[in-house]
Formats: sequence, structure tokens, C-alpha cells
Amino acid sequence: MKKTLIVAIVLFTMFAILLTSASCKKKTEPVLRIGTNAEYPPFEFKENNEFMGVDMDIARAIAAKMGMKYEIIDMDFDALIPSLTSNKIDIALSAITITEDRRQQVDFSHPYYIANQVIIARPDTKLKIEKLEDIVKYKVGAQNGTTGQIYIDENLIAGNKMNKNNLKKYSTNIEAITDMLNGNIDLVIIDDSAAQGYSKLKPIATLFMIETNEQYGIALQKNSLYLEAVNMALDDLIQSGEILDIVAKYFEDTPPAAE
Amino acid sequence: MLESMLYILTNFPLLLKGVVIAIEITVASILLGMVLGILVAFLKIYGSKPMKKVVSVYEWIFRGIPQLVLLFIVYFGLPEIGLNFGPFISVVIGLGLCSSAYQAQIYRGAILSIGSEQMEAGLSLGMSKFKTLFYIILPQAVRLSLPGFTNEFTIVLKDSPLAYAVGIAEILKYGRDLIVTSFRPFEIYLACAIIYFVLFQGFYYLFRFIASRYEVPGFLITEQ
Repeated sequence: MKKTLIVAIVLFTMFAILLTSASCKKKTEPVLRIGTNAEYPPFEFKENNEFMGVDMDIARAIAAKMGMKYEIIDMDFDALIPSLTSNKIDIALSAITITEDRRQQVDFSHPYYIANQVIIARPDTKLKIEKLEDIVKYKVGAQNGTTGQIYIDENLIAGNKMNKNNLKKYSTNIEAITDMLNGNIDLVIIDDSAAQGYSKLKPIATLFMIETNEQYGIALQKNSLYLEAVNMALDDLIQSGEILDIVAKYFEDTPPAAE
Repeated sequence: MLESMLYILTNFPLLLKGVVIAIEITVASILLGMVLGILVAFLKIYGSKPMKKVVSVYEWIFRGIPQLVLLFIVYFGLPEIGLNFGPFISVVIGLGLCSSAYQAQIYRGAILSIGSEQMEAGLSLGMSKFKTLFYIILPQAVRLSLPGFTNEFTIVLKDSPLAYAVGIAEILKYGRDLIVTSFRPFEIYLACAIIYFVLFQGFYYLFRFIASRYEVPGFLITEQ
């Protein structure tokens, strides 16, 4: 019977070690914890288990300029802001549009990219979208928490122009697009930059563009100590043209949109 | 078809990386659940009246909350009251607390099926209540609870993909990463399903083997 006791003690200590080792890590030199949702090519995705994409290259460049070690933490897009407010991550780069609502919970760096929303459909689609209101008849998909989803919620659903059951929310863009290609929904609203990225993988038809002129920014915790350093590093990257190089690297082999 | 299989094969090592994480999460959660579950089971049977009420409420709460909700409360909610756990610890706490409520039921059933006369026998030999529990009741209860425990273990294993919600990459998440750059949902999700299935079967047979090793031939406890 002693055996059971020994086993129990061993299990207890293993668990205690597990807990303490995890909590000890924090005491070493500060690491810049970068949050992202790596399911959004060409801005953030994983290839051979490496984080790649425009945002990831910018993040690395910024960490290097700040002289800090970094750690990239991958999560759902709609978990990014809660992770900032609950101090799980220090900064978030995930093609995050700067909005007033988000500003109430987090701080933003200077903008580094401008994007618009597009409405996409299956390549063989016969649907014609000439103005935003045309989409209300169809089933539309969007990634939850994105500006595209919020745009439809605020402009169409809030004004009762669109039945809210016609907007289906997904945790990633890829799930929305897959569902569209499978025929379960008709349209997807998505950032133009991401639509370009996905068009490399699967043929999709871009039907309509909403010029929202959204600015992507790096999100930080409110009153973050890193804000100034991040802004300085970002300004450096913009002025030296490095950002354009990074963007060109991921967008260069994109087929022309007219195809 | 061949191309799909090749794609899966070349990316299989990546999915297997997720297996290690899934097992770590499952084992750690089960251990936490076991420690709490045994405690709750004992308190519920031998505790004082108010204690019994307290642990009943504990079971009632943690069996009634979906794991994902509990996980979000631990990960995103607790920091507001100053308890900031990392993602791994949060998942283990979330899944472990849920599991403890279920494991408590399993252990309670096992302990109850050992007749109360054994407790009386232990006490009459001059052993303390705790000693009787630890040396006489618990070892027998462990054996009896193995089938239920096996079931609970595989349930937690199948809940482990929830870890992705707080940013831990396990099998399903690695699969989703591959889909993003390849757009092959069918093949990749199928590969994930096969991995989970093999894992599930592996643990199932492992526990069945353990159960058969610890079985006492001819020793049966009849339901009372």
C-alpha cells in the first residue's frame, strides 16, 4: 500500500514543479509578447511552423530595433484585445484596423497600412453587387470581430436593412471562405489585402469594394510603456522604406486582380 | 488523391508536434482533476454535513459550466482580480476543474461500492478514519474506478483542442495553420481525426491493460 502513497506524492510534486516552473519564467528579462492570429495570409500565417507574413516581419523588425527578445503568441483574432487588456500579451499585430471602439480598450501605434473592404464570391458566381445595399438579400460571411463584420452590423443590420441571420460569423476568414466555396453562404466580406492573399490559393471573384480606408495599427495595452518605443521603431521602418520592401515581398507574386 | 496523401505525409511531423501538447494538457488536467476529485469524493462521503453541502455545490457548479466558458473565465476574467495565469496553466485549471467534478462522481461510486463494514472493521482494529481510508478503502476504490477513469481521460483528451481558444497550438490548430496556406480542409481535418482516433485507442488499450493487471481474479463486488 506504500506504493500508492509514493505514486500520489510523485504525482503531487510533478504537478507542483509544473506550476512553479511556469510561473518562474516571468522573472527573467522582459520579453516582448507579440499576439497575432496567424490564419490571415499574407499578413500572418505559418509555413513550416515559422511565423511569416507582413505583420510578423514588421514585428521582428520592431523587436530588433527595441533591442528586445520576442515571443509570438498565436490565438483567435477576437481574443487579441482581451489578451491585451488582461496582460497576456504586450503588443498585437494582426492586420488590426484602428477604430474608436477598439481605442477605448487599447492604445494604437501610428498606422502602417491602409486597407479597404471587399465583397467576394465563388468564381462562377452570377451575383451582381453594384452598391452595398445589394448584399442584403444574400447570405454573407465574415470573420468575427473584424471591421468587415462590424461594418455590416453597423450599416445594414442596425438600420434593419438586413436580417441579422443573413450575416454568419466565423472565427477565421478561411472558415468563412471555405463555407462560401462549399455553397453554404453566398458572399464574404473581407479586407482587400487578405482577399488578394487568398486568391493565390483558390480562385475567388471580387464583386465590390467598399472604400473604408482603414488604417492598420499595432495595438498595445492602455498606457503601455512600449508605446513610444514601438512608434519610434515603426516610424524608422516607414521612413527607411523597409515596410514597403516587406509588403512587396509578400504581395509580389499576386496574380493581377483583373484575371 | 496521391498528391493529397503526399501533402499529408510531408506535413505529418507538424501535426505530431501537436500530439505532444495534447497529451501534456490531458495528463496535467486529469491529474489536477484527480487530486481534487478524490478530495471531493471523500468529503462528500465522510465529511460533516455542511462540508457535504459545500462539495455538492462545487460539483453542481463545475458540472454545469461548459469547459470553454470556464477556460475564458480563468484566462481572461481572473486577471481582473489579480490572478494572471499563462495559457497552459489556464487550460489545465479549466479542464481540470471540470474534470474534477466528473472524477469525483467516479470515485464516489467506487468508494460507495466498497461496503461500509470495511470502514467499521478498520476502526475496530484501532486504525484512524484517515488511515482506514488511505490504506484500505482507497486502494480498492482505485481499482474499481479504472473503467470510469478511462472514460473520463478520453473525454478530456477530446476536449484538449479547446486550448487553442487561449492560444495553445495542439493538433487541430497545427492542422488549421496548414489549411491557411494550402486550402485542403478535407484532407487535413481527416488527418487530425485519424490522429485523435489513434491517440484515443492507444490510451484506451493502455488503461485496459492496466485494469487487467490490477484485477484480482475472482474478486467481485456486487452492487448494493
